[in-house]
Amino acid sequence: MTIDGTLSPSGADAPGRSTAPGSTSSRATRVLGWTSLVGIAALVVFGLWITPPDAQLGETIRILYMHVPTVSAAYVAFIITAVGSIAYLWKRSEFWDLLAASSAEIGVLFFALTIFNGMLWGRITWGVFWRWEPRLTTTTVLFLTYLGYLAVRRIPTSARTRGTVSAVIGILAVVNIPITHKAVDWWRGLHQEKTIFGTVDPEMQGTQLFTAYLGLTVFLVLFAWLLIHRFRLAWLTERAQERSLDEAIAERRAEGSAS
Amino acid sequence: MNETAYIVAAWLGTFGSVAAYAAWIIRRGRRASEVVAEQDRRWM
Amino acid sequence: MDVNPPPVSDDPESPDAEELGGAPPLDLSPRTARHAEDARSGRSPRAVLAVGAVVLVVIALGVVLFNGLQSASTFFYNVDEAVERRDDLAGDRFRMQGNVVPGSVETTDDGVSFVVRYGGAEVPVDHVGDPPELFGPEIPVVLEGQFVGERFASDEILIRHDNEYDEANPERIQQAEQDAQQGAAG
Repeated sequence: MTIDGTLSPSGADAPGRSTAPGSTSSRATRVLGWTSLVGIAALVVFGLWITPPDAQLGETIRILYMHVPTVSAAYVAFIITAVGSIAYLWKRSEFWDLLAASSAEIGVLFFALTIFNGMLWGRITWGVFWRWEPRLTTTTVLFLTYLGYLAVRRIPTSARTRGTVSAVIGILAVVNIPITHKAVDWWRGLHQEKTIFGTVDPEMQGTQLFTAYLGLTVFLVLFAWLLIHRFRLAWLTERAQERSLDEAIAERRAEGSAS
Repeated sequence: MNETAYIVAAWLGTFGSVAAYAAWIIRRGRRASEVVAEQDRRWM
Repeated sequence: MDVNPPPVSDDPESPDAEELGGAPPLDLSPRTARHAEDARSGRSPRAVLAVGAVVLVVIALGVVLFNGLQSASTFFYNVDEAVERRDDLAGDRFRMQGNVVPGSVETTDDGVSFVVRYGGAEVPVDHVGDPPELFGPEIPVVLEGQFVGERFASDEILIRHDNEYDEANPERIQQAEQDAQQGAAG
């Protein structure tokens, strides 16, 4: 929505601008995109057909093939946001600010999907969609924090102020991850222990373990693909805004000369 | 309670949302590319 | 969005450039905002919306932190702890965790009754409502309700899932597939 106003069709043939149709794609994104598609197809076949139902969970283990990779990718995204935030405060370059922001947005999407999948799984397994138990409560805090990060970025201000404020939030927010991750060990609740990295469950065997790692790989590739596109979009949006500012100045110059 | 419906909802909801988001950012990227000078799109 | 007029005066080679004596002075007097760009620094609807969103998120965070963490920290008592605190808990609604004692499950008119055990203590339970699908002997459950005398009156059974992911053995796969087919047919 933010760039709609700057995209008047009359600008297409102005000097200094390309008239050729462009996009945020490149060879790298095409490779990642096709890899994701093939991976998703394989994941559907393995996750929904080839793997046997679990002895304890039955068919509901198939929901965890979505739940675990989405949360892992979301954590990776939030860690990239924190790294980008630190790098921004240090280097003060636009690159790190936009990378942090792009990563956070995709992280929020993946984390929302984790919660969605988890609620469906909880309804079958626990019998309820939601309870305010430790893992789910800390998860909500984590989710709201990053929602806040994105909301703060939308407050109109200078790029430097926006970058600084959001970088501070981006660094503080990442503390939520170990708290959320450890909540199952620190407090008693409904949620099962450890569903993430390295613990993608040592007890899961054979094709179940393979499918779990396949899901993790597919979602990380998918995340990389989305991140590159989202970063380039953020970059273009900044350029488009600069351009429209230049145009506004030029316009006023023109008005000044006309009067 | 039908387990299959929940599983299908989880998978469709996940991939559907990601696909919708991807389509959204790619479309916005195309439109933004039209107004930005070529030297600012070095990945092309 | 309106179409911007072409910036004629910026071009020093344009026919009117000479007459005006080079670049005209920039008019810096304030004027009413016509473009989104002009309004960016002011109180545009976008700014109000963004600040509103931030405020909403902060309020939500506060509510969750205050209420959520309070109830989350004592999400349930184990059966032995609940028995120990029976006098304190009298009349209170709380959650109690234990394993269903095999052979104790009986269907009643409005639900099920069974015994839960944990840490050497046992409590008989009267549950109102249908138990969840995975309910059964040995299953760890979290019950929501209160003590009524010596018994626990429950109205919600939550299944506590434990961490075993053993690949199903052939008989169980068969069973699960049969269940699935029945579920699909029914």
